[in-house]
Amino acid sequence: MLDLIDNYTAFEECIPKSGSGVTFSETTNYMHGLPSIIFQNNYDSEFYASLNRRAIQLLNEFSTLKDNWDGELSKAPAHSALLKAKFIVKFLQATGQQVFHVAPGPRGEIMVDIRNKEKSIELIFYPDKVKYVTFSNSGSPQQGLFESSLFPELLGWLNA
Amino acid sequence: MRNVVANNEWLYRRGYCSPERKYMNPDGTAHSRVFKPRPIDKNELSVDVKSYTTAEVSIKDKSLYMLFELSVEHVNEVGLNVEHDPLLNQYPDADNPAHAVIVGIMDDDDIVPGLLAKKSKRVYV
Repeated sequence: MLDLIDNYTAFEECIPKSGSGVTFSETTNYMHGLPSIIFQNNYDSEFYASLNRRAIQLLNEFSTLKDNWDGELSKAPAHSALLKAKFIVKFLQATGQQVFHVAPGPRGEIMVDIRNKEKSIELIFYPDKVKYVTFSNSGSPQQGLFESSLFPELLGWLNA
Repeated sequence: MRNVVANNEWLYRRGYCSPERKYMNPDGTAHSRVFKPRPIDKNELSVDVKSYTTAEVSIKDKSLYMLFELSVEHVNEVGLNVEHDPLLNQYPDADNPAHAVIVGIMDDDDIVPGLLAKKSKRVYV
């Protein structure tokens, strides 16, 4: 499966360690620079379908927020930010990576928080850019502009 | 003229949690967006100085907000200062002698909001 097509690059680092048998491959830049995925459908689909259900429900609710949604003059979540965040959450769901939380921010951004023990990654989808921030107990926090090519490395760091 | 708030003081910061309380972290802690200033804040984040107010006053509406406390010492540790900025006679019925601001959170800084969130603790009102 990993060698299905020469041009496809498999993110082996992202394959769940639970032995569920999920494999996936990056195809082309599908949406806003994020990779699309092909799935081998031999995993526990019910488990994966429910893994990030809460986050996806919240993202759907965030799409109804208007300006000043918090009574503090925060901007409504940007449509592009919601689309990208939802895509990433579903991507993570398919790989067995649970999302800890998603939250809207004051500048129209959406924050996706992924955690593993003392480490965490925040993906912050602003209307005009996507950033990542890493936190751990053993090193200084890091931030940068997020690109899909960084994702295997970031998830590898989180799950190491 | 603002006065610097001493590092033995504590601060309150409230965060919108929706009526169902599901916008905050599932474990009840604050997420980083609670400590991210708006563009109009000009790099200053509004807080209340605990010794000048009460949790009940600071939270305003506990059906919509959660309240978190944070020590000035922790704010200083990440390289920022807190300045007392009482709001008096500016808005009708909105005087807030406890108001202060965390100064210097830059627009492109997403580390500090996360650090402040991780250092904060929920105050049950």
